[in-house]
Amino acid sequence: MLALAMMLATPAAQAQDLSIPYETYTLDNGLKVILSEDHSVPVVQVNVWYHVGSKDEVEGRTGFAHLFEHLMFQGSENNNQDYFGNLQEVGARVNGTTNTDRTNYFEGVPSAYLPLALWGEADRMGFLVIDQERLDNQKEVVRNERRQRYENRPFGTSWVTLQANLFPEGHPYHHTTIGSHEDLDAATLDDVQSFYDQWYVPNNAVLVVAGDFEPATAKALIEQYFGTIPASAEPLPERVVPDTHDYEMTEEVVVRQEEQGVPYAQVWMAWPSPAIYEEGDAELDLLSSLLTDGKDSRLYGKLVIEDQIAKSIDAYQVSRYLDGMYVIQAVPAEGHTTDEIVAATDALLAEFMEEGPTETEVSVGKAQYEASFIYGLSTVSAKADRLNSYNFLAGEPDNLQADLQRYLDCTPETVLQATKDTLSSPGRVVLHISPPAEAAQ
Amino acid sequence: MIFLSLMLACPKQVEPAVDAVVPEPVVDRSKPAPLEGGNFTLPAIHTGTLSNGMKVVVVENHELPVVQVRAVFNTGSWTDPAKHEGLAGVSMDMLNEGAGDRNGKQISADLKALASSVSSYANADMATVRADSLKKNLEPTLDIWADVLLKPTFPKSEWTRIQKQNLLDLEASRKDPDSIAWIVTDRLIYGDNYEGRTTSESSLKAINTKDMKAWYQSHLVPSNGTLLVGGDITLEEIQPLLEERLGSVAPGKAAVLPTIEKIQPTETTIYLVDKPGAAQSMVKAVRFVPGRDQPEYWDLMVGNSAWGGMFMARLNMNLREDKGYTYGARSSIYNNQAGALWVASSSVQSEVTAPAMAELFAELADVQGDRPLTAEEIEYAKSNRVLGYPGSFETVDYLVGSRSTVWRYGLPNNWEEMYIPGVQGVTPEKAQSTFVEQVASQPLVVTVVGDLASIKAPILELGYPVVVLDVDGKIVESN
Repeated sequence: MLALAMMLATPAAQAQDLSIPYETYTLDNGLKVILSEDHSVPVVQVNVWYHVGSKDEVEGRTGFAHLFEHLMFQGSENNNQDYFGNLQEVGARVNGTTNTDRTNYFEGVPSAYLPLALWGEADRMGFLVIDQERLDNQKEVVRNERRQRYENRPFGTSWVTLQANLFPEGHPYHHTTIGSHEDLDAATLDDVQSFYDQWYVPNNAVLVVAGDFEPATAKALIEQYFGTIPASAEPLPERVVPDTHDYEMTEEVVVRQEEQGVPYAQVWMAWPSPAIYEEGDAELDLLSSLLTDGKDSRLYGKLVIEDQIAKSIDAYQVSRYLDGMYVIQAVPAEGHTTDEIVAATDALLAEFMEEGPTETEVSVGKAQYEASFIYGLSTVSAKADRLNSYNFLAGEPDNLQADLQRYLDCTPETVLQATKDTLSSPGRVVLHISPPAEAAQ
Repeated sequence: MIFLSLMLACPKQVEPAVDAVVPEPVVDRSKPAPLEGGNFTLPAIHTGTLSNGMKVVVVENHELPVVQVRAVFNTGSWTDPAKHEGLAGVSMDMLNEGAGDRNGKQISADLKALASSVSSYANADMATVRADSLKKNLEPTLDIWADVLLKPTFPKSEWTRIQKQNLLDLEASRKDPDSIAWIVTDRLIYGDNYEGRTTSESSLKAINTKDMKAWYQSHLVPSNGTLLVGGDITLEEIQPLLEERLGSVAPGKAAVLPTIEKIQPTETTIYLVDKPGAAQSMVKAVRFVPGRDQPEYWDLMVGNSAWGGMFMARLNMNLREDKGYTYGARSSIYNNQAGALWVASSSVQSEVTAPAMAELFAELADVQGDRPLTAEEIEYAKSNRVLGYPGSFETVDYLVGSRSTVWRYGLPNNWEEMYIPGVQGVTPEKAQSTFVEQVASQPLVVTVVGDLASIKAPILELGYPVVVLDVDGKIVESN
């Protein structure tokens, strides 16, 4: 039922709008529901977002939002077993993720099992079982996740350092979502209970059902399972949302780390940048495309293909709810150093900020984004998550066309302006990670 | 609609108290039954032939205005000559560094303007040249794709650059615990052939563009490949476009392919590779098992699912959900040109490496003794496989990828249709006995990559022969 089948038969300028059809309503307890039919495969996606992430963690409890996500898989009163138990039996694809801004839970189930998925999600929203044994076990699992995905992987902890240096102490993004061993270990049952009471309430959640289902059936099931879960007793906590431009980085911070277990040096240059949907956010995406996408791109073309001082280089805008960060990340070629890369990048950026992008560079970037929006719709699970994401960030579940329009509206002038606003600032973090000196070749 | 009757039960209040709160409606929160429906039909497969004999296979999917075309060839790094390990991979990498009238930069720029991609790569068993395009840009994309496929120039200057990049990548793979475990395992089970012949610094340095041209000319010939197409397209639409670009290329004669020898372990042995200071140890246990062409295939697949093939299986429930030793543990069956390899794998916290391995061995012992796989566990695994199958057929990538597997490994053309009946036909008895016979009771090759200073002594106490290897699989010490 995706309304874009014919969309690109016409030139981009008159293309039909991209859209994900949906209907929405809100239960008495404040749970917002978004329904989107799509009968392409006999699967229905249930996707729940709780508007809480690592940005909402209190001091001394970094990593808690993610640890809590794990506990949501440990059983609830009427489904008191591993959450995967009933769902894996019907071939469901189940998971949950936590980032700085939100926590999501999702399962794609064969259409006939919609009741099972809604029942499970409702039960853990309203009736989670909280006990010490499960908490202790999942602390160990999460600490092993940290070891596996961060510590035992070359360069795995680079983001911990980057965020700690780019966002000042007290900023919700100062720490990463995985948290510290110490804080994870310190979590108590009281923490779990109060986090649950505070954030895991229907009025802080949004339920998307997308795929192969009948709306009348889904609505009745949703009312049955979610309707009586009480809204939070207290109003949702005032979010400590710092004014995004409250902090200004005025100086360059250079961090040099030696790390056992990295095969070569690597450098990250990171600038504070606009939050998602703020002015300049889409422009910085287009900037990334013209800097490092393809052999004729400015930065990759020069440093990797032409001068061959870098093995690889990537530029990207990290768009988040409160603040963004713009990152350029590179590995020097054999015989070259991270300092050479930083110097060459700075020289190229200075030159670029003199002349700005060409019309062609910007229009090619737009074509890239237009295609990526289409490829992004290739699964119903991606569409379900997108509805939730747009709802959270833009207040409109089907914001697809408006989102794409941000890119189509860019001009060489606006891209140049956004580049200057972000990259001409002296305040940035430059992180060099290299093998220990004695091991360097 | 059974659920409606369960929704609200109006409680009768005989004597309402003055300030009575409205009673909570009674909600049935017992596990619900499934609804009706959810029928699934496999996508139709359409087949044509170009005038040079090349087959064209099309799977339609009109959800999005996109098309994917893959030219796949019966070759791969498996054909790498000795001392030139890595040749197939780098030859394929080089295809889009210059082709026809375009140099690498122009190929890249032209594709970017079309928002298309053309990629070329080889794995052990197959070489692929692939195009992904919006439907509206299909023809110009196919022009570039056909040049990359038919007229690569293998420019020396680009190889100089890519060679250096590959040498750094090689360095990186020697620092990654999972890569190290695979390199070492492959050497132990294939010796000097097939995936046992891993790319080295000296082999990369020995390869030149002449070698690549020769490899290309004897492997990427039409008689050795097929064309797989998926997405918003029909056979009638695509066949003339492919005929125009490829139809007149002579079928050619492919090089003779090498044979593969496997080394099945005869005694369970633990191989250790040192990674000083590692926070976790990568543990892998493997042995060869019957592949898709063998009668035991379905029994083994279901038995393995129940023992270790999913989150809820015994292995993960023990190591992660009970002990908290790891973020996850699974066992899988990898099918390749050599047949099939059973692999149990987990990255475990360093200090509990030996206890985690002891649990792995205990689970294998228990399934042969006190705790055979139950009928309930087997039915659960079958249900997981059968009910989860239709959801796979959603993306163009999967549809085309599935056809490439069928073609490359010579599976019956209706393989996708055979899957559900194949799983459904498995009995608990056969799943249990096949898993024990083929895996649990058999010798394994076990590799562990971790901090030997802290993990070695407790591992020696497990009572198996222990051999210490370096990252290239050479013996350092035998215990």
